[in-house]
Amino acid sequence: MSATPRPIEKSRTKGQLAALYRISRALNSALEVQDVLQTMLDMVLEIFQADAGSVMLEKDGFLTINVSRGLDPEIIEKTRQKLGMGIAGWVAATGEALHLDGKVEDPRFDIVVERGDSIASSLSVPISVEDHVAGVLMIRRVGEKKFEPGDLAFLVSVGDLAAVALQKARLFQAERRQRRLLEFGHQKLSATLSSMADGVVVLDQTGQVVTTNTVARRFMHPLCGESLERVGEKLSSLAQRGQTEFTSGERMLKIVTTPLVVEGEESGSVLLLRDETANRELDRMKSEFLSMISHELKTPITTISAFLELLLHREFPRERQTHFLGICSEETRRLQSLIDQLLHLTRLEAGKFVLEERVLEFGKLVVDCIPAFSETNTDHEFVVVEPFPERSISADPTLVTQAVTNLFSNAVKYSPGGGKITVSLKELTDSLVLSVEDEGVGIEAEKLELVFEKFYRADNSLTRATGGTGLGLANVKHIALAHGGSVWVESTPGVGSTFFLELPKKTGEQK
Amino acid sequence: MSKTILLVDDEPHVLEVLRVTLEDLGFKLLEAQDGPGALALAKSESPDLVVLDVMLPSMSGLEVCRTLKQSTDTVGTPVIMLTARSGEDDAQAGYDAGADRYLTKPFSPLTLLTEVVKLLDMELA
Repeated sequence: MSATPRPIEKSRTKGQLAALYRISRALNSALEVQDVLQTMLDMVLEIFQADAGSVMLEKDGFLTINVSRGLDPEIIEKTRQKLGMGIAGWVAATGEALHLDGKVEDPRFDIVVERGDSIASSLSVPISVEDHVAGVLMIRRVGEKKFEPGDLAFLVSVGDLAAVALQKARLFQAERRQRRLLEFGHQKLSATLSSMADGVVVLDQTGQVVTTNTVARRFMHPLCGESLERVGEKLSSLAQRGQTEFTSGERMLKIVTTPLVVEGEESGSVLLLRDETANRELDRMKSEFLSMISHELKTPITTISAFLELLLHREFPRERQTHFLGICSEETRRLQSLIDQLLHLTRLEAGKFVLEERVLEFGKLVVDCIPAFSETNTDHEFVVVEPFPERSISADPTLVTQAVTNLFSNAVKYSPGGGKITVSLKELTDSLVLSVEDEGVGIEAEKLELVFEKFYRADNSLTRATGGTGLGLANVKHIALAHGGSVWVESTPGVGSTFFLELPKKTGEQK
Repeated sequence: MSKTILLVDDEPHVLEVLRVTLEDLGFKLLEAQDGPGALALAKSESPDLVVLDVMLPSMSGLEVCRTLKQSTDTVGTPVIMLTARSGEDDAQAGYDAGADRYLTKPFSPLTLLTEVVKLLDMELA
């Protein structure tokens, strides 16, 4: 009575082994979790001639459908089964396989999702990874054809195979994520290195170059060309001599060395190459400025102290004494004005001042500045090109007065032969432009820009003779800039210069 | 025979104080306000001593001094350099240029006078 089924049983076992072998091969070739599960499900459905199936995976105590065939998309979306609830939940919680036929009313399964009447038979097996149920493989048939008793055991074997493949895929995924993180870290590191302003060179203990960034290669190029070997040699030999600065081409480079410690062991050094060229230039300008200042301060002091010593130790007739004291007092004023302007310029340059803006009539301010010059100075004739626009601007009266005064005294100084100083004021759309024209020595074209730099003087001897500080025009520039205006000059050597001071109307209101 | 001294400075007031310092001692005093002027006078007047400012426009006093010391006519002429620069390097640069004395500004007229007298190998009256 049982003779007939045996060959069938046998042949099926053979077929099942072949199928398992096929599945295991397919699973081995897939690396993505999703691919592993889908491949397995499709093969299982084909072998078991099932109509639908799914693999649910457990996460945080719930099962969700990971891959499926023949299921309603809405159900796939909605299914979220708590462990212990429903058929899949029961399988996952107990780790036991289930073969169910027809309508299921077993209270153990605490059915949550209604099982349609059309389902004839279903098999559910756990996918267990290291004593833990990671998911559930379920297949079903509709219609009349039910699964046979031996099918469940076979599917359990398939589930075990799937578990191994799943574990492998997960490990692979984790490893790949790790590798990506490392790569990302490496990319970030090299991006950081290449966007650094400093050069970076990493040397190993033998002085060989391990890493460089672009900046370092550019810095070292004049000395070593493309050769990293020579970069290593050069930097090692500098380090051996304890030298922290060197020149490469036009650049002055500074080396900051830090030991490279890998896992607590010193395994080389990290060298930062810093371009000090600009700092050097700044230092040079600073010391030049200081030496200029000290020279400018010492010159009047020299005159004053020498005359005072002479007056103390020698007898002079009264009128000569008066003359010497007159010179001393003139030089004292020069000293005073130099210090004033210096302090002023320092404040303006540092931007540490408050612009005390008031609405003022620029033209009136300009005209008010003239008497101080025309009264003490008979060599020059101040000509005002009238009428001045009656226009108010918002500006700091003290600063603007100083700028105008500086322009006037500059015009006087640079026209030692006297002559006309022509003052005019023009209104433009957004600004007022004051021009001060002299008939003096003029400025050569290539020096026009320089006259607004502090301590620059177109002609040293002339300015010194007239007591210039070399700061006046620099002050005018900073005052103009502080107001959002500008200053410039046009000049013909031997004919004269015209200085322009432009201040924005800003207030925009009619007076 | 009266000794001739050439005074070189671009500051008129400094020139004046130098003049007053050395007046009434029988010197013939010459003045120049820049390097080329100083060299021209040194050549034409063969002064016995030069008082030379370092910071001159266009041509520095150091260069004037070097030129004087390289010319056979003026190689033996003592040069006293006057300068507002007081660094040791600056003094060294002065001596390297061939200066016989190096005085920093502000200077004492009496010290200057003493140096002039010493260099001219004179007795102070």
